[in-house]
Amino acid sequence: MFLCNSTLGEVVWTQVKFKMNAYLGTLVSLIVVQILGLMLSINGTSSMSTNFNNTDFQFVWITADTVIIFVSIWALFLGNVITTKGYRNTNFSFVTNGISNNLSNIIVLIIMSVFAGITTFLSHYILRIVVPFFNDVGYVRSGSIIDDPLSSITSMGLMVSLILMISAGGYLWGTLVYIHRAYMFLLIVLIIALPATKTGQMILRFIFADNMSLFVLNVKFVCLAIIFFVLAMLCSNRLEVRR
Amino acid sequence: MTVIDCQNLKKRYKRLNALEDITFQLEEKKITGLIGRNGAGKTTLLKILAGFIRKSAGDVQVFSNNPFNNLRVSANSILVDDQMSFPDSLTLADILEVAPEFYKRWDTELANNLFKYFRLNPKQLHSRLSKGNRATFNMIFGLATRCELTMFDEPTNGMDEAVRTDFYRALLKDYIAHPRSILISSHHLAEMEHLLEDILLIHKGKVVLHQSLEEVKEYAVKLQGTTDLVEKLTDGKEILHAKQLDSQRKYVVIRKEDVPALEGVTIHPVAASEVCMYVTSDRKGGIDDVFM
Repeated sequence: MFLCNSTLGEVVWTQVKFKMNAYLGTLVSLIVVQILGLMLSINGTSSMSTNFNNTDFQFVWITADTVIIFVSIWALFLGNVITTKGYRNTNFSFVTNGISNNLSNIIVLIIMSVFAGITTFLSHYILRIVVPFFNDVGYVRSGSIIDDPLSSITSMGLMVSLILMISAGGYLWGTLVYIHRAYMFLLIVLIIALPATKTGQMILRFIFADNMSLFVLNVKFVCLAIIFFVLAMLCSNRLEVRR
Repeated sequence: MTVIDCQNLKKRYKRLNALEDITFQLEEKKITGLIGRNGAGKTTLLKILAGFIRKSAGDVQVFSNNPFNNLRVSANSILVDDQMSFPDSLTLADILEVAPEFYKRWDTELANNLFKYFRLNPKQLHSRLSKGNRATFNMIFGLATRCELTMFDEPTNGMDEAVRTDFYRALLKDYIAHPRSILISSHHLAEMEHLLEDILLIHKGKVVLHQSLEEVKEYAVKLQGTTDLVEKLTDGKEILHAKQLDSQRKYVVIRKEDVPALEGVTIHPVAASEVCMYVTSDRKGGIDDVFM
């Protein structure tokens, strides 16, 4: 009897290739979500009018915040959806075990987050080009990568790590829902409980407010993503498939 | 070498003991039929062997490893059942293309030839296939992996008569070309009898028989004759099955042993599928008795 021995690394790599191929559709949904966000951003998120020497000035702040919010929701559901029964069963039609399935899912989420983070960061350049066509604006002012490369890279990294953290949260959430349906309400409970309780506020402040620099925030996001992924792996390693 | 070794294997679900006490060993390179009634535990056993679900107690070894979550077992075994699913973003042709990356011994030529023979549409999606075509595709996938342990759970469900016959033929031919351990569960023993070397009969989560097909065929005999005579002959013996043919004649199935030839009683062989049916029967009498 001759047995094939596949190492964990080989299997994970094969699965990453397979999953990137199979989940290509999610990138289409990402682009749709970004376009939707951009369309809603065109009119600006806030504005201010002033009068100076009988001349009316109107300042309009146009940001890609809406795009970020939309992409965050996309990341949450992406992390969640790949833990569902259908996706899990599909993965187990090929060579896999619990660990390789988790690792390849995590790598796929990282790749998707990098792609989503960079494109979302760049989307405000699209806004800058498109806005003059739709709005009656005379002058557009914004920073560019060439003006301040370091801060641009930091904010790009921040976007990537934010999306990664959210997708990791979605992944953990989805894993818990797979274990028991009641965890479905966990997210709603968290959304209500975090801002409403003292501890919740402390946690939120620790993560988002008390940061010396954007870099620290970045590190916090990545750490949170790692914690979420590790928890998800610990929870799901003993799970059965094709039940 | 032993491929599967189960010792007092048990599996409990919330409200049900699916496997009570399974002990058997499977030697390599044999085609074994896993036979049992509905709910006997066939599917549960196969899923444990494939490493999809956990055992509750006892010991199970596949290639000397506990199969659950084991990469070595996963790389060398496959379970073909109707719950196999593939991503909707991949067509059937795409699936056959990625498979060799996972299964190192994938037989591309066999896969493509069978695919063409059964006239499957390469651009079709797996989830859109009809029940029979899906079963056919799963079978092609299972055969082409050439895994050392290939398991089929009710593979012919949904296939039409012609495809069934072709399937058994393909399985046999490929097995002869590349001998490996094949475990195939079914409740149609009669139609796949010609393939099997061994039979593993389970009933209510326990192994009832694990013997070669020849032995199972020799397991029992049917005595037919006048009621008085048959009853006298079988008195004190373990009766596997009995049926009153008419007011005077009756037949009784008993374990095979030296039965004296008596006038008025004829002795008939009992087919393997009938043996399996009688051995796992809890009822005295048949469906006819319900309508008396």
